[in-house]
Amino acid sequence: MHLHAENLTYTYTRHTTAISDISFEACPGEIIGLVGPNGSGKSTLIKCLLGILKPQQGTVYLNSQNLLKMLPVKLAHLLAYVPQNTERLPAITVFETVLTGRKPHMHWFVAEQDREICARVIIEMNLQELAERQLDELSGGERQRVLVARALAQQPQVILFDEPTASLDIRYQLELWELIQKNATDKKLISIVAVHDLNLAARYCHRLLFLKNGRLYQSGTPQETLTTQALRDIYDVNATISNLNGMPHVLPDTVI
Amino acid sequence: MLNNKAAAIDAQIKDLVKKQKNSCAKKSWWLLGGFFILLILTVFSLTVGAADISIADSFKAFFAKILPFINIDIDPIYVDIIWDMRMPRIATALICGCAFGIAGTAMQGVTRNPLVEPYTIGVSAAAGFGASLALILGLSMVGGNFIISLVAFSFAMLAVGGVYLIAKMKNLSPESLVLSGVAVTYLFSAATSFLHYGATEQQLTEVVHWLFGSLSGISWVNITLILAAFILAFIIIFSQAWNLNALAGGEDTASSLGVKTSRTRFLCMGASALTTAVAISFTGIIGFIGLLAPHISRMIIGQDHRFLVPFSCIVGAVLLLASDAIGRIILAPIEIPVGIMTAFVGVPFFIYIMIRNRKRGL
Repeated sequence: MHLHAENLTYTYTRHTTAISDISFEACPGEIIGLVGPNGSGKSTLIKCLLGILKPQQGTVYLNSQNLLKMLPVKLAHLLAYVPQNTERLPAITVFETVLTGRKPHMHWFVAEQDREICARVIIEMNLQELAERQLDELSGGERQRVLVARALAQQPQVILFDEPTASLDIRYQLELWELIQKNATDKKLISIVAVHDLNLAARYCHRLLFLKNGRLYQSGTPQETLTTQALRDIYDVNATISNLNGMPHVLPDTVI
Repeated sequence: MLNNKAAAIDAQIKDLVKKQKNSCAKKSWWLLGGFFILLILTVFSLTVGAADISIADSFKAFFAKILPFINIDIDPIYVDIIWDMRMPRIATALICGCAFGIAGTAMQGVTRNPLVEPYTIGVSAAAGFGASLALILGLSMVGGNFIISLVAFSFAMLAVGGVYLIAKMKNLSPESLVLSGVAVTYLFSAATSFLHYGATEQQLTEVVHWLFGSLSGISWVNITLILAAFILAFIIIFSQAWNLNALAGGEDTASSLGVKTSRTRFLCMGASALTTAVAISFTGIIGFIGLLAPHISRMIIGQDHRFLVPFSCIVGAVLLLASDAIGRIILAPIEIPVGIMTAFVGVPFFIYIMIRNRKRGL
């Protein structure tokens, strides 16, 4: 399984923010970080991949399957989405939430198999003690794990995260990244993560796609891409890049 | 070692699945329990009314008609009172309560807005305008009460159509539905006020009476119409239960789960509008049930729409039936219009549940 996006272009009818001519590839087990300033097109790109927005140009293939021509339900068998956990959450239990992840695979009735798949994912996410609790009784980090569990219950091949660690404290941020890493390795998932924290991105992502004004500025390993020059061009920020145990580390300095 | 671990996980999975099934079973018991409360209330309502009929006589009169082959010793007037006055009224309360409950749940579900109710999309204001117009033009002289209902219904559907067309330009987003609904509501309210401004005292009395809402005097044929619209709405909304669950997690999440969100909104909104419009064309504006029943149901049974949709029907029916019964009892022989009683009964109950369940959201 190989994800291949080419020349993706999306223009909102009234807004200027969009993406244009974005191409990239991803392999199973790979974690791709989408980085760039606010409004650079990270969310638009994720929505285009998910089929929520229809790109005016370009193609997305998963192996030989054309994702842009696929029915939403079929697409949901291949791609799953983990939103930011800032949404107001409904009064349903953890198990019920994870069960909605089986929606693309179910008709109206829940099969025994669907319940078992959800239970397994809940255990993997270490949520078994919370399974019958309401979502609004959980902490931010626990909720985010529930949202990941729901996406995994879809049994996708590609999983897209939209700033999953936003509004989480540092412990939960690390915990979530470890989960993303573990799932990518164990399940050979292609993970695409929109992320603001460059140091966490450098530590956990195999490759980074830098977006600026809807265009792909550069892509490559964190070591290749995280440079003083790149940060100046993309963020208008002066920063020092130091090397901590072979990993680039960004120390922001001043705004240009 | 590895086998042991796998076995332990399997045991945990079994345990979780069992717990989940138990939780579903518990909700089914709530449904059943609610149904029994409704049944008891229905039987009780049968014995309450202006005419002083004892409980035993009420039952005798009820059975006299279903079991004509058994000779039951009962005054035929009682049989008429029970079958031609109380039963239609109870049936109307049950079906309309279900209709308002399910419509409120569906509307709040698709807009993800707890302040929305079936009337938010302009149904009640337009029906009120239609009824006022028909009453002031004296159409009831021509075709009786049915004409009033028909005009009220036509305007209600006109308003919903208008709201739909406006919201459609914004891809049927929840905000556009609510905002255009509120706008259309104000427009029809103003038009209604304009009509009232030019009406005579006599006409105004009739109009105000209609606007209060009443469950009495609706024929079995018309009750069948209300029931048919409700059944259609129920089938549509219940079939969307999973889509509504997915939508509760947010618009993008639902889309990523393969839900065609605009289609779900269109179906649920259309079904809610239809059943509400048919109901209030006959009963007049009965408020609060459509807003309160979903909230009360959610606080009791949670937000899984597979259970919430049927449960909100039961809660709606209980609220409306109880309101009507209490309205007939507390100031007897004066009857308080049910449209007023629904607030008097529903609001304290709602506040009680809200305080008890303050942890649960929405």
